[in-house]
Amino acid sequence: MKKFILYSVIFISSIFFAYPFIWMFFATIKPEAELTNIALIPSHLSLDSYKIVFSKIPIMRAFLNSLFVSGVVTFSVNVIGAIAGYVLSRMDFKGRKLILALMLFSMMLPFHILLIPLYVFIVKIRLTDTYLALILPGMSSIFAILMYKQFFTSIPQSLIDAARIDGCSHLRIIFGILIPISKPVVITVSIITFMGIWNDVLWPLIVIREKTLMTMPQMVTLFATGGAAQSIGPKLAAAFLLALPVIVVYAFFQKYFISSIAHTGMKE
Amino acid sequence: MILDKRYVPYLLLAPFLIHFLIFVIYPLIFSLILTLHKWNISMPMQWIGLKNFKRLFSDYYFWISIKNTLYFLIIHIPFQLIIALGLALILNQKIRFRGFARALFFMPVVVSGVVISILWKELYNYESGVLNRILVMMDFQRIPFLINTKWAMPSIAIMATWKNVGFYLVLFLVGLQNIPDSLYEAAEIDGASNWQKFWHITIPQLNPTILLVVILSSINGFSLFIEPYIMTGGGPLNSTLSAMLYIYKQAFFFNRLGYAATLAFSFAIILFFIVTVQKKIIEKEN
Amino acid sequence: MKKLSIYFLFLLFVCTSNNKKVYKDSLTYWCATNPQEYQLAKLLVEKWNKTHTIKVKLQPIPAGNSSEEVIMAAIAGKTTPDIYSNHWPGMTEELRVSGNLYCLDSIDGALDFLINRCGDDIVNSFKSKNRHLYQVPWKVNPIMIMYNKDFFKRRGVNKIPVTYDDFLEAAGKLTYDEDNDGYIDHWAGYRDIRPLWYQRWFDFYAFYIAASGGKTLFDKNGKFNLDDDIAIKVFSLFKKIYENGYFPKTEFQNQPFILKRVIATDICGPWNISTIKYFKVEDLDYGFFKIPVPDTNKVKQFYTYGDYKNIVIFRTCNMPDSAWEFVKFLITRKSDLELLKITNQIPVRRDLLKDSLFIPFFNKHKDLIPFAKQAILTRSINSVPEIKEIFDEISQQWEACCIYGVKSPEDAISDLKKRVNLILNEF
Repeated sequence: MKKFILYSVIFISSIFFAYPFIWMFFATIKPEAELTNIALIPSHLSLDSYKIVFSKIPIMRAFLNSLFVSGVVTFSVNVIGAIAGYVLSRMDFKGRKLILALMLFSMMLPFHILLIPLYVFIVKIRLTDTYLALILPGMSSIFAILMYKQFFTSIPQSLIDAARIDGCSHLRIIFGILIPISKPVVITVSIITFMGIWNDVLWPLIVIREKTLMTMPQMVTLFATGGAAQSIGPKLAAAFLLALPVIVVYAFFQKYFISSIAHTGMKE
Repeated sequence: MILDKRYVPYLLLAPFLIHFLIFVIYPLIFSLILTLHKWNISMPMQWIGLKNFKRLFSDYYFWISIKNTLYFLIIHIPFQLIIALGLALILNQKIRFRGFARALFFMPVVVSGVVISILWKELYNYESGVLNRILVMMDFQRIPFLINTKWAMPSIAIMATWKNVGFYLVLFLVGLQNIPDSLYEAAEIDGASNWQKFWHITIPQLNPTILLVVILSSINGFSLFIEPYIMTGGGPLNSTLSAMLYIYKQAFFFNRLGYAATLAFSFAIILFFIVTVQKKIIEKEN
Repeated sequence: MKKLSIYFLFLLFVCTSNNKKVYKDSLTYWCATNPQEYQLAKLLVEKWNKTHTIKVKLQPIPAGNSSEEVIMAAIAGKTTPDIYSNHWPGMTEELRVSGNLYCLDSIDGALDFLINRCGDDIVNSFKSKNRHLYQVPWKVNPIMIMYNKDFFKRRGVNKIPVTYDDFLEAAGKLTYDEDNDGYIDHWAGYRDIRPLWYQRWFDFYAFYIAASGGKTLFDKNGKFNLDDDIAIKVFSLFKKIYENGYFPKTEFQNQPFILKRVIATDICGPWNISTIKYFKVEDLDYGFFKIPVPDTNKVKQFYTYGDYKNIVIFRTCNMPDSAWEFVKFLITRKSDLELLKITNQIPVRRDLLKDSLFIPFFNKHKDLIPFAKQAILTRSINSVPEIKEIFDEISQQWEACCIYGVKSPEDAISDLKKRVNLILNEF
C-alpha cells in the first residue's frame, strides 16, 4: 500500500514537471489556430512558428554569442579560481585573512548593489556593446576560488613538496599536477559557471544593445516582450530553441549536474 | 627581485585581486557614493546629500515592492520547503525510476528563467491558457492568474517553486543521506513512531539544509526580475512589482541612477536583516 | 597550457575590436531601421551625394531596446552621428541641457525656412524653454480613430460619433455576443491595458489634447499645468468604457485585429493603412474620424496627439552649416513627396493639400487625406526630462481608475498631481 502511494505521488509529480515542457514543444509545431486546444497532438505539423523566429531574429548568432561568452568565462573562472585557490590553501602571507574575509563578505552582497556602478563603469570605458562587457565582470568567481581552495587543502603536502624539489614552478604544479586530479571540482565549477552565464539575461539586457552581440536568452526575451512576434507560436518556438541546448547537454551530463549541486550543498 | 619568495603569493593572486578590486570593491564603494547624488549619465553628477533617502520614505512604489517581495516569500518559502522535502523523502526510498524522477524534477532548474516565464505566461492565459481550459472542462470558473491583483504574485510564486524545487530537492537528498542510520535504529529500539522519528531526528539533522534553502529562496525573492518582467510587466496595479524590477525601471527607464543605487542599497539592507532573523529562528529550532 | 593561454589572450584581443569608424570629411546620418524609412533615406542620400561635394554617410540607427537608449549610449561613448532623423521630441530637453544639440535658429534663415514649411504654431510648439529651436519637425503620425464601416452599418451606428455621449452610445451598439455563449466576442474598440507609459499617448493623451483644444501637460513656461476638469472627463469616459465592457480587458496576442473584425474601431495613426496592405486585407471598408470631445461647443480647433519624429543636428558635428543644408534637403517639397510615396507617413507641411505637387498623390491615396488635414493640428509630448516617469504615473492611475475601477477619476487625478509634484520637485 505504501509503495502504491509513493509511486502515485511520483507519477503525478512527474506529470506536473513534464507536461509544461511537452505542451510547449507541441505548441511550437501546431498551426496557429490550434495553439490553444488542449489536445497535444496537432492535426498537421506546422513549422510556421519556427520560420517566423528564424526570419525575424538572428537567433543562431545569439546562440553562438552565448556559447562563446559562456565558454570564455568558464575557462577564465577555472584558471583564476585554481590559481587563487592554490595560493589561499597553501601559502601564508600578509593580508591572507583580510582577503578571505572580504571574499566571504562579498558573497553575501546581493548583486543588484553592484549592477548600476558596473554598468556605469562599462559605459565610461566605452565597452558597451562589446563581448568584453559580457566577459569581464564574470571572469573570476569567488565561489570557484573557494571550491578549489577547499579541494586543494585536502591534497597531501608531500605531493607538492616533491614537485617543488623537482624544480616545478607554482603554475606548473597547479596545472600540471593538481588540476588533473581535481576533476570533480573542475566539472562542478565549470557546469555551475557555464549554466549561470548562459542563463543570465539581466546583465546583457543592460550592456548590450547591438543585435549581433546579444546573447540567446536576451534575444528571446526581447522577442517575447516586444511586438516582433505577432502571436504566441513564435514566442514559444523561440523559447524552446533557447531551452534546447541546455536540455540536450543536461540529458547527457545529468549525473554531473546533480552531483555538482550536491557537492556545493555539502560545502555550504 | 620580483620573483622573491615573499612576492610570489601576491603575484599569483594578482589576476584575482585586480578583478576583485575593479569588479567588486570599486562598484560597491561607487554605489554608496552614488546614493548621495542625482545622476542620469549624460549630465555631471549632482550632489544632493540624503535627499534620495528622504524620497525613499515617501515613495509609494518602494513600499509596494517590499510588500510584494514579502508576499512572494511568504508563499514561496513554505511551499518550497514542503514540496522539496516531501519529494526528497520519497526519492530517498528504494523505488524504481527514482533516478529518472530526480532528473526530471531537476530539469526546470537548468532551463533559463526566460523560457519558464514565457511558457507559464501562456499556461496562465485567462482566455486560452491550458490551465483555464482544463478548469472549464471540469466545470470550474476560470482563474485570472496574471490579471488579478490577488492572484498575480501567488501565480509567480508557484511558478518559481516549480522552477527551483529540483535544486532544493537535491540539497535535501544529500542532507537526508548524511543522517546516520544509527540514529534511526536507536529510535526504533526506543519504540518511536515514524512521525516522532521524522520530527525529532530528521528535521533537526536537516537544520543546516533547511536554513540554506530558506536563505537561498529569500535571495531569490529579492532578485526576482525576469519573471515579472516577461509575465506581467509589474502589474496588475503594481502587485508584481518586485524589488529588482523597480530598480531596473528607475535606473534604465527613468535614468535615475542615484535613486536606483539608493533603492539597491536599501533592499540589500532589508534582505540582510531578513536573513539574519531567519538564521536566528531556524537555528533556535534545533 | 601555455598554448591555451596565448590562444585565450588572442581571443580577448579579438573581442576588443570595435567597428566604430569615423569619417572626417563627410557627414554621418542616422535614420530609423524600418525598411521603408531606410529605403527613403538611401534614395535621398544618393541624390545628395550625386550633386554635393560633402558626402553623407548613411547608417540605420544601431539596434537596441529603444532609439532613445541607443542615442544615450552613443553620447556616452562619443559616437553620435551628425544628423539624426528618428529623434523623439520628448528627449529634446534632456539632450539640450546636456549640451548635445545644435541650436538651429543660430543658423541664418533656418527659422524662416521652417516656419514656411510647418507654420509658426508648430514651430513655436517645438521651441525649448529658452525660446530657441533645437529640432526640425519632420514627420507626424496624427492619431485618429479608424473604423470598420460595415461593422458600424450592421449594428445601426449611422452617425460618426463626435461627442463623448455619441461615442458611448455607439460603443453600446457595437459591443455584443455573436455566438451566444455568454461571453462578449465583439467590441467597440481595443486599447493595450498594460501600464506601459507610452500606451497612454493613444488614449488619455490624445483625448486630452482634443478635449482641451490643443493643451499639453506643461504650459509655455515649462510648468506642469494639468486641466483637472478635462483630465477627469477623459478618465471618466474610459472608466465607463471598461465598466461596460466596450473595450476588452485582455492583452490580445494577435494584432492588429481590427482586421479580424472583432473590434469596430482602433485609435491609431496612418500606419494601420500600411499594415492592412501588408496583410493583404482587401475587403475591409474602413474610414477615419476625429477623436471625440466632451462638448463640441467648447472646442475651437480639433487637435489630436501627433506621434512626431524630428531631425536634429548633434553638437559633435564639425560642419553644422553643411549639416543644415542636408537637413533642408531632407525636407524640401520633393523630398516630402518621396516621404509620402515610400513610407506613407505625413510630412509636417502646412500646405499639404493645397500644394499642386502633392495633389496627384492624395488623389491616389484618398485614405491619407484626413491625416494630411490633421497634420499640423497636432501636439507632441512635452520635452521634459521626467516625462517618462510622469506618463508612467498616468498609466498607473489609469490602470487603477479606468481598467480596474478601484478609484474615482477625481482621486486618480489628485493622486497623479501629488506624484508628479514629487517627481518634479522632491528631487
